[in-house]
Amino acid sequence: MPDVIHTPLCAAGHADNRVAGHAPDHLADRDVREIIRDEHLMRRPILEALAEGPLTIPQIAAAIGRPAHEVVYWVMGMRKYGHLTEIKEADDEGFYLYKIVEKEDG
Amino acid sequence: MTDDSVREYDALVIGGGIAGMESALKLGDMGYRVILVERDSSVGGKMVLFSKVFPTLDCASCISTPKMGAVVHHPSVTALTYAEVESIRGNGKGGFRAKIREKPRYVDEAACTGCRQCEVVCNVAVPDEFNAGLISRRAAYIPFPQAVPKKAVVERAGVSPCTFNCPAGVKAHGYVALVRSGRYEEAFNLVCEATPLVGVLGRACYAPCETECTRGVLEGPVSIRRLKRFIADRHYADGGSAVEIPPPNGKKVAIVGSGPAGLTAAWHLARSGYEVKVFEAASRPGGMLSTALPAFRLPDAVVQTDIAKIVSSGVEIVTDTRVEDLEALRDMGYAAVLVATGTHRSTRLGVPGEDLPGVLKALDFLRAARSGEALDVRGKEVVIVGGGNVAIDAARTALRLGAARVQVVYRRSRDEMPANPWEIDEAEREGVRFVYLATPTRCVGDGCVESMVCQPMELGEADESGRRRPTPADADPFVLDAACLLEEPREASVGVPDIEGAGGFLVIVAAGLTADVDGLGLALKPDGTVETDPVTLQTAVPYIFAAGDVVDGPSSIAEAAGRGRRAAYMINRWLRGEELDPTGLGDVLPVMDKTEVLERQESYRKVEPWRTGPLHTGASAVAGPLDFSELEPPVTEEEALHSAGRCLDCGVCSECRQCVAICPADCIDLRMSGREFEAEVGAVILATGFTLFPADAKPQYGYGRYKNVITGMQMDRLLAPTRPYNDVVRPGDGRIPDNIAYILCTGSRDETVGNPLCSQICCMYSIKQNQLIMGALPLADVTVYYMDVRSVGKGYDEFYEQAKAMGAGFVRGRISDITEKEDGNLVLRYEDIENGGGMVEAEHDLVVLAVGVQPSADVRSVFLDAAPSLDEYLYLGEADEDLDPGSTDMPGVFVAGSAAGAKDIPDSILHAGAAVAQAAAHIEKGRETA
Ligand SMILES: Cc1cc2nc3c(=O)[nH]c(=O)nc-3n(C[C@H](O)[C@H](O)[C@H](O)COP(=O)(O)OP(=O)(O)OC[C@H]3O[C@@H](n4cnc5c(N)ncnc54)[C@H](O)[C@@H]3O)c2cc1C
Ligand code: SF4
Ligand code: SF4
Ligand code: SF4
Repeated sequence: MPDVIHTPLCAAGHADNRVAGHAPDHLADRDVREIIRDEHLMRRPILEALAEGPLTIPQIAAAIGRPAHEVVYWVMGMRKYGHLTEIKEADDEGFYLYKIVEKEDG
Repeated sequence: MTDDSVREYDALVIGGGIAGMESALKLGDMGYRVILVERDSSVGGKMVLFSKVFPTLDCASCISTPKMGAVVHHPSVTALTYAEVESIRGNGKGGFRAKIREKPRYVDEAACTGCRQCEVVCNVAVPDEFNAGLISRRAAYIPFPQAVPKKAVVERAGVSPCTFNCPAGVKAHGYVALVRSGRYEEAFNLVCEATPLVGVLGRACYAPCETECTRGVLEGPVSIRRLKRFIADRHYADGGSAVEIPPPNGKKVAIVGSGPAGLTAAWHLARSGYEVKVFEAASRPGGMLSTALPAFRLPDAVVQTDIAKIVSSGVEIVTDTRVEDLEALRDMGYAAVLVATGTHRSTRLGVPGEDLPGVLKALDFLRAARSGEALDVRGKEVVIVGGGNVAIDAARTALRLGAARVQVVYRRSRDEMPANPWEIDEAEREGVRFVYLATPTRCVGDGCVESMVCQPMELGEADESGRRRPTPADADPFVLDAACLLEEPREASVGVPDIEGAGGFLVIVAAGLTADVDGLGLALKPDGTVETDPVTLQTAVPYIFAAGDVVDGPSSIAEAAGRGRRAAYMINRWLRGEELDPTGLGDVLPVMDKTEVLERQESYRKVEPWRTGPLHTGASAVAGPLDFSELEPPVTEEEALHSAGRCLDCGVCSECRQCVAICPADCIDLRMSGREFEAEVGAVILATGFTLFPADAKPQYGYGRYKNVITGMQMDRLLAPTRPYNDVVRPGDGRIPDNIAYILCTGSRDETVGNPLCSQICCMYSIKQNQLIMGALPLADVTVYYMDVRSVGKGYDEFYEQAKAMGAGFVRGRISDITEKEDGNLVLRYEDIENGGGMVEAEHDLVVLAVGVQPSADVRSVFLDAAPSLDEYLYLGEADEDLDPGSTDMPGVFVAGSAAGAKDIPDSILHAGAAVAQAAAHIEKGRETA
């Protein structure tokens, strides 16, 4: 069996044009909705990776073994909800470093 | 909820974007009473989400928010957000009758302070449509920081199938989502809101949730039951937690029977402040859990741990106490009594020889095995009669006690067997044999049973249960006896007292169970179960309620627990003198349609269920002697997270109730219902805006496949002060781009996608973004690939020139396709028109598709009789664009802004002005003729 299951049912697609949430027929990629759904699951491994110190998105991706573009969704979501934040200046390569925001609710 | 009074307004404006707000405000200023209906949870439309507006480069949200505030606070304007116009029809007086539905926000709008705590704690992440899908939002959300009203909404699409199908009322989706977030204790507590039998159900529930789980349509259901086991094991391994006991309310309730129904009722009543005493006839509490279910499926320690939790809530359980007089309980001061005595009377076979020694009742056999006074079946030939789970449990228990051979005789075929198919599989794997389509006609023996005569059967028409009815086949009876005993008895794992009077052949009857309540003076149904009101569970004697198998006949732990919960709810209401209304128990929404859930994604990465232990190994036979230790292996945290991660969040909100618990204003109510009302209006203005071209409809540009190809709307969000990321960074890897390409006219002036029109705005918003990028990222190069730049409008050409002067490159060329490099950079191939038309390649690290606009005229479907016409490009048509802007071909119906065709913000405002003037004239005319 292929590692992607296509929904023959899917006709909708563009119901709300503000959602860019439809990655089309492409075996290597996951649907955006599916990636985003994993955010809560990925929170712990990402925070564990950052426990050692701030990291860029490619560094987090390498640490948790997931693709960088998926990590962007999770890191930005975690940033939005106050779990981590960036260090002011980007590095020479143009990457920001993200660090844990210390708070009670992990 | 329907509001019967009809409200009256001069005008109805549909759509709360800039054109709709402008229309409502201007009409309101003129003194007309206006109702504005916006589908989203905030007014503002697309404009408030932009970074800045061209050509002035004013901050879009700074200039939107005053209008947004004004429209919701205007004394003549009623602005409804999160609402929809369901229908419009002419009222025969030149005006219209509209039906409007306010969708439930599940948040008390007046009380919500917009503190965002619900969002932060919410366990469900979905794409944020207000950030063009670049980031997540939560099921509980405030759409964006400048939202007006700035109030939370909970997105509930329906009840998730797992939750809907749990007979115990467990919020299955909720605890799965909590496990996914690592909130195991909260997950445990959520299950306890329905029943305290968390460890028990985590092991022995038949899991109807999994049968209906949407993920089952893909690779297999989420292991919902095992997740419950995981949280129970975690909870108790971590030492459990104290149960909060409310102050006593001074009333006492007696519960007869300590099975799942009685225990669950006791738990709920105790937590409502009642003094609860449970009377149990057996020597150990738990009902079937302690007496019938075999320990290899449900270890005793698990049952006792769950019961200890119930006791810690203040419930008193007395055992070895058979209640024979319910009235006596009343006399002892119990204000209400719940009968939850289960089904403990075995149905007889009704064949000769049934009372011979060696013919046993399955329940007695299981009870003896469970209590350790196990019976000596070593080396014996054992025949089980029946096809339910009791039969299977008895068969597997007999094997464990050392039976030489165990055969299950069932009168129908395997397909009709009421036992769960996986239980049958496991029994087969352990060595149980099945004799289908046979029924005993006689037990034969001299002093004890020695053989059983069976009649072969065949299947006829379906009976009332829907299963095909067995009838005797035209075949000779056959005999089952001890002739085929093995020479060496199998090893038995427990003590082995003799079965009185039995020989080498045993018959265990599992032909059904019914209630055993003869002495209690209750009205019974023909099958011997107790008669109650099906909704309230009250018997004919008002203070006596009954629940569980004693009412429903043999069911399941989850069903009995659910009935116990219902009984507690009703008893509480009855004792408080309230109407026995079940509304508070059920769900307010229908079950989520699985097809609709699956359609949310175009593809699913295959994630197999976790395979573990003998239940799932598919091993053909079990090696070594069987014993009574628990069969199913424990759930590791890794397995739990893997399993919870497979959940599709069917209903969107999981009903985990974390937001309800945290909201400081106490304003979240997941049971809220919407409101519908009718309005008489003099005129209608349609201001429903446009939709953006779906960029993946141009597959050669790779949108949705290439991580660093985004749309103009997404770039506007990246540049906005309320941007989703901390800076303009590539979605592919978070790097700041330094060489950005724009492709103009994506989906506009393009016959191949059916849109010959210029979108009017894409050139200008791209030029605006060029300038903002050069401000934000001074080192970045920007190249715009175009066929024609249209900068018609006051100051627009100067704006274009300004971008060029700032360094934006403009290349006249048609992009034929894009490929993605390993590092996420993109190679664009284009026809270099200015330099002879050859094909040229250029590499960029971010590509922005300047997507065009498309009509969004689905609002026409709300018109029940005639609807305004569309123009040839499928925008809402104007009677005469030049001479009569804003009026449609339907008297009294007007169109404002980009719903009538692509327009930028100044043009949309202007156009709304025209529509307002037209509408005012229509309203006045109506007044004159009235
Ligand atoms: C062998 C077997 C295996 C099963 N396996 C499963 C399973 O894996 N999963 C599942 O979901 N369901 C299973 N079931 C079904 C499930 O056990 C029942 O549906 C459930 O226990 C019914 O709960 P109840 O509270 O109504 O009754 P019970 O559990 O029968 O409890 C009633 C209690 O009342 C007591 N009592 C009776 N009369 C009196 C009296 N006059 N005074 C005081 N006390 C009294 C009884 O001693 C008993 O303890 C199984 C049933 C059996 C028999
Ligand atoms: S927690 Fe309550 S008050 Fe705060 S935003 Fe959410 S619903 Fe409103
Ligand atoms: S109940 Fe849970 S999933 Fe639903 S909105 Fe509240 S926190 Fe989110
Ligand atoms: S996918 Fe999740 S929400 Fe949907 S039925 Fe299965 S467990 Fe429930």
